[in-house]
Amino acid sequence: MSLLFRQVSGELGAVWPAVLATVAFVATFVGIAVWAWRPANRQRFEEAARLPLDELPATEDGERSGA
Amino acid sequence: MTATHPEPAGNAEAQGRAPSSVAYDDWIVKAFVVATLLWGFVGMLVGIYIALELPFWPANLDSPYLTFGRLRPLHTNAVIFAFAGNVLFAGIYHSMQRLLKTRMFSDALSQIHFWGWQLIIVAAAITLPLGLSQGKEYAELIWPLDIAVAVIWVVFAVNFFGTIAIRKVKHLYVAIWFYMSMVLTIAMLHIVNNLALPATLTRSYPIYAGMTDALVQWWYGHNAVGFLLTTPFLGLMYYYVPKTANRPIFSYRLSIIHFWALVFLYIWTGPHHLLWSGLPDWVQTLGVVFSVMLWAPSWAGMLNGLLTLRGAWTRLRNDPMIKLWVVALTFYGMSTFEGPLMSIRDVNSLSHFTDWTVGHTHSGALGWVGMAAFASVYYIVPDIWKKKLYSRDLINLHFWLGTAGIVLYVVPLWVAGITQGLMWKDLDASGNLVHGAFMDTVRVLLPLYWLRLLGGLLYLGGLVVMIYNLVKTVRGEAAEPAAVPAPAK
Repeated sequence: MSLLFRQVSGELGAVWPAVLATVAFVATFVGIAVWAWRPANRQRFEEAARLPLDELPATEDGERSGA
Repeated sequence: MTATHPEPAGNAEAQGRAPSSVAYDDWIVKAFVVATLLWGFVGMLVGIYIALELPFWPANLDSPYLTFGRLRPLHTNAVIFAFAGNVLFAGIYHSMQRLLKTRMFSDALSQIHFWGWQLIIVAAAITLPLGLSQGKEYAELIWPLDIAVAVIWVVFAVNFFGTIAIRKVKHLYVAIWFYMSMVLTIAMLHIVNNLALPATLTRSYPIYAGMTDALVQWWYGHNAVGFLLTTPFLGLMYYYVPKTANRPIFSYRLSIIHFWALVFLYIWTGPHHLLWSGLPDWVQTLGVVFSVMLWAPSWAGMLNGLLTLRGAWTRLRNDPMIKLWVVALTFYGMSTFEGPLMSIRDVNSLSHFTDWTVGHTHSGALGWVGMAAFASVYYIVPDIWKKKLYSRDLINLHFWLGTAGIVLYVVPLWVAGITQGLMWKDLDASGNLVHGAFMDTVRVLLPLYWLRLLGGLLYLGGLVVMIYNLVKTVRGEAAEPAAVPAPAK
């Protein structure tokens, strides 16, 4: 195992940080996908989707910058 | 907009209750809308002028200030940073205050941002025709202006994140995430690509050399497309499509995947501009692979926008703003299909350096960016001026002029590009070029250049109709505070 590891790591050499970063980013993306599609979050995201439609009206005096 | 006596945010907060209204800063939105229309007209007019110079070179009037080489960067800078930039700022200031249920963090920073950005545009309009350029595509501005852009961008960023910090809602709607990607990434791209050693007030040398300089330039160049002309416009789409259609986005969860997939993938695609060059082969392959992978999130976003109209397709017949959004999203889908296709090595060997590339960028710029910008502005103006839209028939006319203009612009350039590419590759039996003289291809392309000019004129005509319609709207009768229909589930 350690021999195989040394061989692989030797061949990869300076590429190791890139490999680790790629794995980390893919894992993060998969994590985000799982979080987004988790049934427990369904209600929460349905409410979030309505944010543009649930706005507060503007007050009349707030238009001018610095007003 | 149905409350008759809304309670300002400050009063409610002081009493520990949720506010029922907000004193939005709409002055800044109005200012950016006016700048959008002004610079949009100027930028597109310059585009028309240089489109005329291609088939009719005497149009440069023998003046160095009016040559294609100097006016082309003026056109691209004007439409990208002045037209698209200003409409993004208008949309962001308008939508983020409403999504976060708060006024902008600082009115003073908003005004510094507005006036600073307009001053930079004026300075660009003076320096570029004078031939003062760094010679890097989409990064032509000389180093003092680059510093000014960085400073004004930081002002915007402080105001942007300050507003997020004082928001009255917990959840950051997906449009805000798309805007955030622009604020952070453009700062990084602009600063890294413009690192240079000044030699005089107007001249500088990049700190990178040779292929590294080219790679950094196209890392910047393609991501300027990605993070200025794509992600923030998707933010506008995720806000204004639900507002216009009066129904929530088709799938909020898909919008999350869309966002993260896009920002993970986009930043790696720059090398596809340097295929068949001295760039290491593996870097070229990296650019191609990430470009092709972009198909998935791009089409997910397009479908998410289009499917928001499910159950409301009948409005496509009589609501011109819905039409604008549908065409914008369709062109988003088309140009994000075409881009990865052109990044494949064999296709690129035919398309590179030809008018196909110009046709591709304009299907994205006129079709996606332009139509999304128009649809957003048509929503914003009646909303913040509190006036009835002067004429929906004129929006319809604008829609048809614009759509016909895009088709007449893009299709001839597709034909021109493929013709040009095939002619350049044409060899006789002994392996010599059949069309060795560059002028051979130019003569064949001339009729197509005239058609493209006609397309551009129609598109600019549509913008003139829009400006007329909006001026009449602002001067016209006030909108009645009608009850808003309950949004669809």
